[in-house]
Amino acid sequence: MRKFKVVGKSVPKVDALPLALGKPLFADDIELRGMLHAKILWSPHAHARIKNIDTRKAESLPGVHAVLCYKNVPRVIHTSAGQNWPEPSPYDIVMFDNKVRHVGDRVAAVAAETEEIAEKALGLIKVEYKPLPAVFDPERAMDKGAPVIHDEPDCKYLIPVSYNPKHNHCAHIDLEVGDFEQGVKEADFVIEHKFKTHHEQHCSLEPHTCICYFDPAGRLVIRTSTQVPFHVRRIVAQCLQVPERMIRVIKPRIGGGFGGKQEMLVDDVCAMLAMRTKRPVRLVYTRREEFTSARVRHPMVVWAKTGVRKDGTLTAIQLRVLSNAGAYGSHAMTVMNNTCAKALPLFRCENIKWIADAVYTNLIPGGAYRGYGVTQGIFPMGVMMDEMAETIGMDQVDFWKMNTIKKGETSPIFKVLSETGRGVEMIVESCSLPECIDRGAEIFGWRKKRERYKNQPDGPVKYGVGMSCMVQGGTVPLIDMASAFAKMNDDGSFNLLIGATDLGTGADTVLAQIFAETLDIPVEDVIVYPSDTDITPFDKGAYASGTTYLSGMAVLKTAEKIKEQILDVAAEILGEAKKNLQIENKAVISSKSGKRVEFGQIVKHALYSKDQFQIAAMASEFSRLPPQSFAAHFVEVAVDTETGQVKVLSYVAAVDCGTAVNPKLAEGQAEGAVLNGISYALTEEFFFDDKGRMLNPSFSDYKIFSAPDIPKITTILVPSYEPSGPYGAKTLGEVNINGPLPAISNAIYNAVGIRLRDTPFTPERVLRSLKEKGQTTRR
Amino acid sequence: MEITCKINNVEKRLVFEPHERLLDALRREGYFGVKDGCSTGDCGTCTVIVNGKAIKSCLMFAAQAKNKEIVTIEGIGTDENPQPLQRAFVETGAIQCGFCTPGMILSAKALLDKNPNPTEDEIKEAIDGNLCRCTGYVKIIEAIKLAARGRGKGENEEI
Amino acid sequence: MEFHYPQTIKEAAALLGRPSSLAVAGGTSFIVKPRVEHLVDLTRLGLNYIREKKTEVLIGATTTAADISESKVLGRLGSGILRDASSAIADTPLRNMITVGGDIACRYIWASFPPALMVLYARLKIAGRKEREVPIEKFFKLRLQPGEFISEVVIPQKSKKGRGAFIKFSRTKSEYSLITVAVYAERRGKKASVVRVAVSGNTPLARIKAIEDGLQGKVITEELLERTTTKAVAQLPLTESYIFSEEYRRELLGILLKRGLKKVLMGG
Repeated sequence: MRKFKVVGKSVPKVDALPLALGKPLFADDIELRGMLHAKILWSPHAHARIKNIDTRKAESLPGVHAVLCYKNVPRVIHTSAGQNWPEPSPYDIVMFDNKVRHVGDRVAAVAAETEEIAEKALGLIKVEYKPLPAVFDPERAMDKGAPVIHDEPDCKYLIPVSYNPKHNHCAHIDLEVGDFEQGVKEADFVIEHKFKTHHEQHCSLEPHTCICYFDPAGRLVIRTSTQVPFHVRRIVAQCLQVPERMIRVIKPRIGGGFGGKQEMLVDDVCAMLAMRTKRPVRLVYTRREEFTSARVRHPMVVWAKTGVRKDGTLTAIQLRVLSNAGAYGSHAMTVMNNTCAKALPLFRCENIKWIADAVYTNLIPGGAYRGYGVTQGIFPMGVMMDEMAETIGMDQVDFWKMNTIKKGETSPIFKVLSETGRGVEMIVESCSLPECIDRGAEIFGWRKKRERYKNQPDGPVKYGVGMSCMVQGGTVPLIDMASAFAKMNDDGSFNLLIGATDLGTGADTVLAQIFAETLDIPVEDVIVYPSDTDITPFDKGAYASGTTYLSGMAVLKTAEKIKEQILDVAAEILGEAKKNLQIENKAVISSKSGKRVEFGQIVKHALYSKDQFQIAAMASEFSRLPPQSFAAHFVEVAVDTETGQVKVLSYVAAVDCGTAVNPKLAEGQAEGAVLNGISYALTEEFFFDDKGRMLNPSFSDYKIFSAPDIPKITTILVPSYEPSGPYGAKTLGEVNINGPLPAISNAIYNAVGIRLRDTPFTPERVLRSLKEKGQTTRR
Repeated sequence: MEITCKINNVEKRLVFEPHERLLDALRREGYFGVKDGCSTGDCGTCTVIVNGKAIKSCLMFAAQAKNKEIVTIEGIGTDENPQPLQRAFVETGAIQCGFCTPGMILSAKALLDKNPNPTEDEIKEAIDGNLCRCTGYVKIIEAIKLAARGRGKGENEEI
Repeated sequence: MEFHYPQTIKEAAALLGRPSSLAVAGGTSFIVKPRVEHLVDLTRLGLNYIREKKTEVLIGATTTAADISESKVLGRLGSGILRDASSAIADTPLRNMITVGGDIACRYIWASFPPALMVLYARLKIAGRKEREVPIEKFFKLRLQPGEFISEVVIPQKSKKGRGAFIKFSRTKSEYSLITVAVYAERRGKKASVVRVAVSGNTPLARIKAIEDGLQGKVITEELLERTTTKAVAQLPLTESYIFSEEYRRELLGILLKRGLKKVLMGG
């Protein structure tokens, strides 16, 4: 295994100490003179036309500075999705419309001297609604006669894709590689099941926060908690109809995103209020609004059909996907695509058929959520794999090893489909999944536990183990781009300006490590300046598991360009040929004469002495292919057959992220994703009434785990080397959230013989399934 | 209305409306380490220590702080001399986005001040009111154990 | 709005006797801005204590759940059922704020203390113009008069004799209780000599006489427990819930009752 000096070390995060000291680093941790507070009026109806809005009383309330609604803002149709332009999401949303499409949709906004006055003003806005019939069930959304949610004439896609809003049809793609029906014929066993995944909220501890103000030159500054500063700048400029150069977006420390902030969600309203009032404006979502008016994971129905031979060969895979986009289509097509594009290449199968549709309903809009469709695709496949293994009498470990893609192989899916449509043919250049499976199984004690649980103890509690493998391709190939800029200071230190967006993931640190490794300097010598659209070069933002891989390569290339300049100056100082010189420990050494000149000397020479210039460089990198990260997860559960409660006892995640640039941070990503997946599998749930209103919009009623709920989680990093990545690194942010749903479903099956294909695996669902199977101990 | 209390060992005069929460009064005074993550007492990002006990400042009236001693994250540790818990959190990778961190550290401090040798279950219980969505709590628990063992030394600490 | 800091019970009663006044102890129930003119802080009256007397244990009304969770004295009553009830409340910082008096006075259906105190024969001392003492069951049937507030919880020492069990059902550990079961029992040989059962959470707070009468004086077997609990649970009025169906919650209540009773009556 390659050894590096800084890469591969668990250096503390560059922002860890300031965060531990509680420094005021987050978007809301400033106070501006004359700052106004914004509040939004939300729709109580799932589907209605706004016949009229009367804002006069609200406007004349003392302390109110502006009231916005469809009557006084330009109608600019756009997408709120933070994606590259032209966005692969439909343009179907406007700042304020004269129609509302879900409970919690925007109706109006107020900016006032205090939050209290703003709330009061909301109550004074008179809205005349004409309620319309609503549709909530995605399986009914395309029915003849279903209410048309997007009947506006101007909704459209910028790219040529299938879009039929008159039938609430938000996206459609289908493909076939090989011959699925032939594959079915060749199978000894064919299995077919329906799976359902449910809504999930990101629950970032910091809610969406935006503060807009004007700088002395009169430019609009947007200080916002976002994963996509550059996209925010572009889309806000579009919505406000001002040139982009009038806007600067600053990203402070962010209190979590997980995809929920890969969106231009509140910035347009905040900015418009600032423009109208000519005052700084602050808009912070309440926790309730996070649940009712932000974004969610797209719930999906997946009909899966697979064929397998007695010898374990996978002969056919078919997924028919129905994604519930909710009221607006941001990220709908791309998330849907990933159920195939980034999930199915995991499997060695020549015959794959995939048909996918996304539909509008009058529920909270779906958006980006860690996993981004792969979670919803790996769940059915992980459970189908388990059932196939059992059917042919093969141990799951062997079955997965046999049927997952290996290093040097390709998948027919790659060249046909990527997240945005266009495929990219590629070979898997790095993959340690077989070792992940072996080491994970060993550390978990897979065979021993399987043996042990063949005989269950007396009493209502039964035990079982399950596993699943997973994959997540990093970046959107041919679309994503990242850049970095660095300059050298008097003392040999560097300012590294990166567009990359650290949302707590440690990107700033990891990128500093990559930079430091290339120039053989300690990490302390790298001063990272993150994501500011005026100062840092473009980066797509933190999504698609691309920061370490793509932004990392941009940083590496920047460092290499700087290296060349350093060597040039050193050559001049030493009077030697550049080819004899190399970088070592903050200095340049001649292999010929042994002479050494320190970085500090070199940069001073360049800045002050002769042929002066600033040692500096910029580099961009765009994604040519999406390298896959892999993982194998093993879980042990206890199922109480009287109450139906499932408790996860232990969880092992063996992860291949290529080179782990910072092992502790890599483990942290895995642990966080795993626990997020576990609570998604067991306790997180959206409840809606029959009018589409969410019943549990608070942490009291939407349950995520706290410390006493967690199982024992063990993370094993199994290195591989990705040649196209910086020092062999790939990606890590998302892959592990794809494991808990299938692994836990499989473990429950192992414990009590019921296969759960509807999530979450609530106690009632478990008990009901047990009764249907006749498995309960009660008569 | 007005009360006096001690904040981070300094006598302070707080001015606020009677219905205001301690969270509001503290942030207005510039203690930005106290956060408002949910306003319903669930997430724990508003946690501060009052008279030695961890409490949730979003569910406490500022008025109730009269004559009490409050500790916020700003009152423990400095850049030059971080407190052992802060050192340990940095060293173990227990900080990702950092939004839960002040509340988490204060809950841990309240525990260790009373029980310097907690078991893992006692640690989990002490932070059961502090939600974290980033870390899965694994390294947070590790950090508190490390601090309890009194070995929160940073990699770059001078010998 | 005004905030008051009475120093004596008499003062507090007088302040609360005014119109538009609310008592504040832990303060955790005030999630929305209170629409009253006066808030009265009850925590500076010296009502934070746990005192063991010859025939009773006295708990001051502003004693926190955290203190109750750790009380050795209370650990001896009903095999520590009050400590279990208290430890099951919310989370650590909230237990540092929530008081036993507040928990009772707020009458939340998910509250832990009421069912546990009910099975321990608890009485409440109510301060006001005229101090009175009521059994806790009676408290939930009456309204407090203006100026009145709970000042003390009184638990007879006789509950040292028996065993208690407290079960909270929720999706995560710190969630408020969806189903609460409190059981206290004494045995004489194989027979149950005392049986007290209280439930809340998914049903209005109540003792279940049907189970108590069904088990009192009988030889306890699993079959008897099963039969008695299933029959009793079928009669109970359940609350509405969007989380779990009525059918499931009824069945679950039966199971939790059986488990609690088994623990105190069969040592299981």
